[in-house]
Amino acid sequence: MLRTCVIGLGPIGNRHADIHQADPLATLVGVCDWNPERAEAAGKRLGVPFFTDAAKMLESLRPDMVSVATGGHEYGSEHAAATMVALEHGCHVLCEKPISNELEPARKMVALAREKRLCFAVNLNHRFTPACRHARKWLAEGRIGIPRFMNMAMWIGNPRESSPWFHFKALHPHTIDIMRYFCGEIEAVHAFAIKAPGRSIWSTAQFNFRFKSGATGHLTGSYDIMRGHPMERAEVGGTRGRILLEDMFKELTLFPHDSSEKIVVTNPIIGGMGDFTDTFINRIHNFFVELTGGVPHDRIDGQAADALAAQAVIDANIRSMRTGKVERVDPGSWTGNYDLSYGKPGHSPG
Amino acid sequence: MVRTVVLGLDEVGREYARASKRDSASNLVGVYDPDRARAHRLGKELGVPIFDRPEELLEVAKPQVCVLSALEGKETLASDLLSRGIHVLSTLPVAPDAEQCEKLAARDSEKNGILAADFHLRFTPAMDKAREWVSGGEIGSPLFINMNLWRDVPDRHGDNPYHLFVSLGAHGVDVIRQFVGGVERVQCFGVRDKNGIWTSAQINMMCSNGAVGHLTISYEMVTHHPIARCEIAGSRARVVIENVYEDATLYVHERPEKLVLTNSIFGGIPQLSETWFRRLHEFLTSVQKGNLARDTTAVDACAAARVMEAAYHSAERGSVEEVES
Repeated sequence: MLRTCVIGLGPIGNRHADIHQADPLATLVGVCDWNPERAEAAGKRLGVPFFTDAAKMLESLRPDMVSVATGGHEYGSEHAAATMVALEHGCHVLCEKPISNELEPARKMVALAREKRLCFAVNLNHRFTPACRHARKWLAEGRIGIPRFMNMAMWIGNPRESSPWFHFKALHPHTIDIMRYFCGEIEAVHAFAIKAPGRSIWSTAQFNFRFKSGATGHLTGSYDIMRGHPMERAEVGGTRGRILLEDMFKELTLFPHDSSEKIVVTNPIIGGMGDFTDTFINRIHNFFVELTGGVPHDRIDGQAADALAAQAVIDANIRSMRTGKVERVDPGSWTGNYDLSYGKPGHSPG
Repeated sequence: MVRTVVLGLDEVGREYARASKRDSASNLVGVYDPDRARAHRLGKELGVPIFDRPEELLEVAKPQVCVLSALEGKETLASDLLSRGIHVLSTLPVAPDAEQCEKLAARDSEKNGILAADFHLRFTPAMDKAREWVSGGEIGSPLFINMNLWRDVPDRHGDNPYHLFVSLGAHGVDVIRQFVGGVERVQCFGVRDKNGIWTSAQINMMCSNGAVGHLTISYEMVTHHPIARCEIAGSRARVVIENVYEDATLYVHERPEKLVLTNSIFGGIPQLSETWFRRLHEFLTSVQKGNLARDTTAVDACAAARVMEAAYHSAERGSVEEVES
């Protein structure tokens, strides 16, 4: 049984704590927030010791694993400090996204975890669904052949105006992770964005991508559309077919070129995904399974290096907005973790 | 009845010939294609005269309207037809480049025939409903538009490496322009086949109404699955048109229910071919009523050609391109 803690007790941190408590592979042993009222409220609600100093909690409780959900500017500026202290105390870490709102702290976080050979994952929860796994299986088997283009879209209503790049940095770790998961490394980008009426941030954007494989990609993102109707869509068109994944887990469709019959996998109402919270449950449980099973730090799924790669793509898009040009993604950020051979003989990780 | 001929019997030309044959406003008086066997097959199917040369067809059939599809030197022929006072409905591309398209469109319509462009994707109830929602302010301030349009490789796309842009892409950008007006800047990443012909492209757009747009086009898909999708989002709602005419859906952000117009099996659009029929019928009706001046599709074809020229320059150069207006 893993001994776990949570640092950062806003709504997301509390959600992590609830999931830790409910998971059969973990025992939540403590929680921490710099705000004493939040720490106390969560500690009492969950029935675990609570702290306002992360180092003291880690020294006192010596957990195996820590969830970091501290937030901060652009939802990520406080991730680095909490993660670094957890890693220094020998804990495996699952950090909320974005790994950090800036690249340099993110690089240091990944480097420290690597140096200490600790598992460091990021909550890229949108793809921890049966439908997304199924889509990747189809891709790996070559069911659509070689990808030629990918389209992705995601939006929510988020009225915060915290920084010009808030929408880019905080929303698109998810979408870019899915795009890399399906089509591999992104080589070059271009962005057009607008500030919706009454807003001061780049709240709606169109991102164009060229993958290293030569396939092309496109991503629409927005903080201007309220939740309630479908909010996410991913499709990949290839030399033998097309797949379409709607709302992360609701429906996956394969349109084969050589048949007029399409294959549809629909989320069942018994035993299927319930709602969006299940993406958190699946993602966190997956990490617990990997830790329990002793999966090496560089083989875990949704690892921080891939979150860093996604942030590097976001950084290139911000540069594109500033220069008005096509910008290249730093190849030093590539991990190769998601490479697929698309049905051809060769390396095809699961 | 309007005396109609079809020159160029590729896939779209044949669609127009069949549409012309069954349209009560039309009298299909001849067809022509340099491939005589192809012309013969269609002539036999439709029971209409075929001709060996365009000149012969014009002399004998004396058409009022000419549908002009894929032919070499099409723009020269179009110019000649217009000079003779024959109205021309041209498939895409209207001319090899935007400049030649503009020259054709700029002809004096008082003395000449009227030039119009295909743009059959506009002619569906789903498009009408989406236009009504968007122009009526249902979506609020426009935010973004996405258009996907794909198919298999057309039977005749020749050696033109840009055919994807000037044909399929121009149709896609016309749908986008229906909702956002002009396109100011574009950026494109594309995919080519082993012969250097562009087969798929992703085109990012900055629209003059303040929205951001995007077009995906591909000749690497198939036609027995959905071929098109358009979505237009604004501050209050989002509209999606599925597969040209199958569904138009309005998602109002603050309301949990969605409003859907579904193509009816009674009186709806039975097949994509119906869109060519409706497009031709409108043109012929305008000819009969003498109000062709309201058909501005030639100007729209020029605008679409300019956007697509900028897109393929972007793909070739790796640049962001301004669209010439």
